Amino acid sequence: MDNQTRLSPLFGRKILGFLISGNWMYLGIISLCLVYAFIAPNFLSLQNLDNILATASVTGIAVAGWTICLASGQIDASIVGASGMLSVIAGVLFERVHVPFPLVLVIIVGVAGLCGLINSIFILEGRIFSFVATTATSGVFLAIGMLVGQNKIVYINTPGFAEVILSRPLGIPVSTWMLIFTYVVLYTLLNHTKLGAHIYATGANRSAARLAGVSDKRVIRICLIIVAIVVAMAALIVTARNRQTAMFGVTATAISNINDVFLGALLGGASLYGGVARLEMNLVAVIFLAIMSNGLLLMTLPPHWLVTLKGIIFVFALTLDTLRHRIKLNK
Amino acid sequence: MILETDIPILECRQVSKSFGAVQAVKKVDWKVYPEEVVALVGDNGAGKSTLIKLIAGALLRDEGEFLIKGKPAHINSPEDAFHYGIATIYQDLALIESRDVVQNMFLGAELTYGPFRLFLNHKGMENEAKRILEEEVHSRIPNVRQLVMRLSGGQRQAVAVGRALLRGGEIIIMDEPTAALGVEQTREVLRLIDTLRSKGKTVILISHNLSQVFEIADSIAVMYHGEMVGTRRVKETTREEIVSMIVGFANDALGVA
Repeated sequence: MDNQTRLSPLFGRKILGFLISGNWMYLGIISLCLVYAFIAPNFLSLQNLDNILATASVTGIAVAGWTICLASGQIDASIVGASGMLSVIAGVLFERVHVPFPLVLVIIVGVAGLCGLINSIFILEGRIFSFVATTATSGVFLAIGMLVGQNKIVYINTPGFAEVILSRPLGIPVSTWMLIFTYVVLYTLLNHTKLGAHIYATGANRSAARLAGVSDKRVIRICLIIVAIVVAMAALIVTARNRQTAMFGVTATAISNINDVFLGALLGGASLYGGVARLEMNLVAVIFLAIMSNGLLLMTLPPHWLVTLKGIIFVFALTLDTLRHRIKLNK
Repeated sequence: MILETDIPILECRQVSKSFGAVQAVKKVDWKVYPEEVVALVGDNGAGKSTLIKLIAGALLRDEGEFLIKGKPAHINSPEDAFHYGIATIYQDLALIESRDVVQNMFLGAELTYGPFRLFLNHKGMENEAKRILEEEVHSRIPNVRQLVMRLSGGQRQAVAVGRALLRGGEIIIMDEPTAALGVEQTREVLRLIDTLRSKGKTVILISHNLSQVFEIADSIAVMYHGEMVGTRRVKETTREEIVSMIVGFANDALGVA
């Protein structure tokens, strides 16, 4: 038993446990809602709820994929470049080449898979630290996107793309359906399949997993492909919503800011040290972040406050992760 | 009594392994007979760990071949070794700290059900893990859903042994299983090895502790500078002879193997 915790008083341990388990976010969501309901006009309106869900769904989808990757012990920084490139490819194929939307979908999934595969070659065969390798490929993906789009924004005007993604089957937006779908599939994958067990094991202790007969390379390759495909879905939603492809210099996707995805995954209990992930908490974390940002926007606070706040929460989440890794708290 | 004519369960023929200019294992010929506890001893750097890693598929040999029950075995990965009934318990046990006992025992050999055998059979694995730990390993792990990081040294050994049994290991290799354990836990592990022998398993045991080796092993194989010096039956040898072999003073003229 690890008794190195210096927080000997029971109360201190309880607070730490509360923070580490992520349960504080429930409290956070409730208190944020209460505060915003009073001070931010329109916070409780149906329209705003829709906005919150819209923000949460795109980040949420990307975070789920990212968490799977993190659980396998790899950090994929290429999602920024990949999402920009995929957005452009989808737009060009649909608007300029007039490829029907279902086929665009298939091609995008294929190209995304290829991105994951390319990353995996550098990481596994080149033995480059994943964060570094994917930062490099991210730039290349972005450049390919610029090439394909000839440095211009493609506007999605032809019916059949945006309409599909913005439609609301059973009154619920497609993006929300996709969010639910992604979490159900990835949760099942992670917790109820052999691959999931191998992902956790590979992330927690790669050499031990290999000695137990897990094909660690295959596991990591699959995870990199999964994250790329999941991110492609998020990129398509954003492209449809904006009715335009990513802009260059700044990828105009919600994934443009990798910090948001990173933050969602970390707050949701995924560990930078690999082998730990709780997808259900990720969803809570993403909703918490979406509500927080939304309320601040409604209060018409200058945007730098939001960035500052997110930065503080980021540091907080990183600290929690390190604490969780170091102190093996008894539950 | 083992006879020369018996088929060894494991045989190494001219097995070699180099790391750069260092020849860690030099043309080792070695026979291990079934249902025995064989201790592999030697000084630090004698090549014991490298040899068992080659047998376990964790390292790839440069030359030579393995025979399992007289038939050539192609061991190129840990999975291959499992396939031939070789299960290895490493010095650090190679357990995943942040996963529970069941997950560790079944890692790489999970029970599944459903279409395409897609889903994990959590309940089935839990029951089987409990059964093996209680009936075969005789260990006391009250909660098999506990994370490995919360187990004691002896309990960890039990989990590792349970995993080896679960993989259908006939040859169980243990790399210094008592190196980091206290007196009571060491007893536990020695008892465990005895249990394995009584179940008809072949145990290859790496150890530095000669009194322990003389207590538990049936025969002792000695390595020196990457070479197999020889194998002695415990009943027919003395500590002095083994020590002189370990330090490189003995020749193998009188050897059994």
